[in-house]
Amino acid sequence: MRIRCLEFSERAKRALGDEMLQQNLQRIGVRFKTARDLAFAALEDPESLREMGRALKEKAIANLPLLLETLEMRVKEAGGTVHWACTSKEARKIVCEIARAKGVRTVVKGKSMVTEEISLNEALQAEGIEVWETDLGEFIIQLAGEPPSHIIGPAVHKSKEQIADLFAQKLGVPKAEAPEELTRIAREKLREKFLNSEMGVTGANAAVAETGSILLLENEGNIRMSVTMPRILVTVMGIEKVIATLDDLAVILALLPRSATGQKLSAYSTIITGPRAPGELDGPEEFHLVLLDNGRSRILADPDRRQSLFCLRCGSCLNVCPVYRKVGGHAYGWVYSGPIGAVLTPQLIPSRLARDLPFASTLCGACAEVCPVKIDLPKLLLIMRQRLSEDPNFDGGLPLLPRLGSKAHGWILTRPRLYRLAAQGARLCSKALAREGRWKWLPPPVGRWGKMRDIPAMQVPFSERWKKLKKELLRGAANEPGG
Amino acid sequence: MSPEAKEKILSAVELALGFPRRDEEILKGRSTGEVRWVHPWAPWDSVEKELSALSARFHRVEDRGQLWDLLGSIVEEHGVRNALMWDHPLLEKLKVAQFLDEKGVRRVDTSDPERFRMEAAKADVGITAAEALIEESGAIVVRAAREMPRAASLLPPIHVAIISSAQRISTIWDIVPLWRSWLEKEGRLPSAVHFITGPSRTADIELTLVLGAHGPKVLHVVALPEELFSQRE
Repeated sequence: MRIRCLEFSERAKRALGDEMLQQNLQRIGVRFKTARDLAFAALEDPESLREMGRALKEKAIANLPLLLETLEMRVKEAGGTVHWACTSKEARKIVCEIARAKGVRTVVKGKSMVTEEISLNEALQAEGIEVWETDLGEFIIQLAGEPPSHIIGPAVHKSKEQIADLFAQKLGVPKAEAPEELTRIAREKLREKFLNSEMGVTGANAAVAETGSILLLENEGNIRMSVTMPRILVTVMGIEKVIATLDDLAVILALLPRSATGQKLSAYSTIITGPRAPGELDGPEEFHLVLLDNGRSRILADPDRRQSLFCLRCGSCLNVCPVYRKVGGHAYGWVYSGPIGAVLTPQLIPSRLARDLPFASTLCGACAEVCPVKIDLPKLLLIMRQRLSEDPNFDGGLPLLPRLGSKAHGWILTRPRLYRLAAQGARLCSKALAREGRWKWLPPPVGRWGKMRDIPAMQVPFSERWKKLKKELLRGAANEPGG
Repeated sequence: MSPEAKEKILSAVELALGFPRRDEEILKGRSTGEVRWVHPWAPWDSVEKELSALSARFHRVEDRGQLWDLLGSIVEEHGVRNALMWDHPLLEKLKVAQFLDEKGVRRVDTSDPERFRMEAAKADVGITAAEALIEESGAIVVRAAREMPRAASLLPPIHVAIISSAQRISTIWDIVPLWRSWLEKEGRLPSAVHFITGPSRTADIELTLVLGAHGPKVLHVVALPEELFSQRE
């Protein structure tokens, strides 16, 4: 997938001007957030469930080598094959080679962020293979030639009229706008692909080391189709998705659907262990598991940033993020959007290509409150900001002027008298330049900073108002009958 | 692919984590022992509530006669002509095959594995026997095995899942001992285990709920008294 993170501000601006998108973003945010909140409120002890989620991911990441080796062993015992890929390129090569060796012509895919991360579709298509995204939302955006805009609802930015036009144009069907009718059209089109494709490709919500099983959650049944009908199944997963035991799997089942869509369980939770067993009538004859590093081991090395790898990809931090809810997923310019995207992207791709993302946050903390594995996203955003600003080795380094500015600011802050003087000066400027309680214009070099936000006019500080206030209060207390 | 990739990744991970101790204990499960089944006579209210909220159809029948009546009404309502039925001891005891034959419903031929996929795609209804029903969510748990193809709960527009009243568990946590009992008996998990919670659904177009995205549009869950299965005939 092409990286366009540096276009964040232009894309965000475009998104803000797109009325349809604004409406849909608002709706999806409210819908998913409400559903998630209700599901958690119905639990006896929602906090302890999140604690369990956190604990199992901490345990898994701390024991990653053992879990990965055990997973490989169990998958092999169940009759599957395990492949290791250091980079996206290696992973693409592995999948393409399997496809080539088996004469695959058509691939059906379940929705998966990781295969977007490694740009698998483009690689398979370059081999002359037909690739079908089979999740309805993914199918729509594939026809439109767009990347997904939300982890759970990839096509939420499109209206049914737009989808109707798209289907009519690309599939040659009569125009129909009812969601039921559009869904039926996709069902029929893809049913034929499911029955005739040779290879299914999916991601994984988790993989259990104890048994060598992978977990796949979905509502439509397209993933079940992809892992049942084709002769070959290839599952691509990041190494951080492995968990230790079946007990941990039950925690994920309790936690992930509630966080993602507010469901107690998704319509389908599928646990696949190896290819079909001897004598079975369906299911894949071959099962390949591709374990992808692609920068994850590098993230592990920093104990503070390690928790970025706990993410279950539920999308709940997107739904509550005031920035995501205005700019949408496309503004982030790559696979992962929202708060977790702002943290992960600069760690997975060269960080200079994603340097704006960690700054695209108000640090309000709503994301940390809903994260099912309690990732401290505001802290990670700050860490990423700091690294991008200070560490020249981290492809970063702030430009000279802001750097000098923050030095000067720090110097003044440690000198109270100077600070009060500067504050008084600033208030005078504010009086001169602000209208209706807002700065209309900021002088350079801070002008650019004020361009993207409303800066409130400066108020008389509490320390000065207090003198007067104190007198008034004392007078009031004295007059109170009966004290 | 290359053994080097594995070496590279594992050593990078070990280095990043500061060479962690290999603690095999963490691979041992906590929940072991007996499955805690809900009492067969316990009320079905919560199951009924959950399933109706999911737009699934829940039925309780007392004997084989009632089951046949129910199946008859399903056949009629949906105009069923072909059925993909599991070859399962429970369904055998209920003589579902005999019922279908009497009704003139053709059973999908499962004798030729090569042609199975295309044959199964013609079925109007899939009939399966669930391993468990979770009260908390209304989910049924089905597994794959010989004569129990995955397609039966997936390809046909209607899925009828039959379950004994003794196979209820109350929450998702109770599933772990059941998994472990399979592990113990078979040395591994089944090649596929499915939790099915209502009919297939999507809300990808303007967040409007549509049933029957890729899997069944209609899910019937049929509960039968335990005695029907335990008694000998």
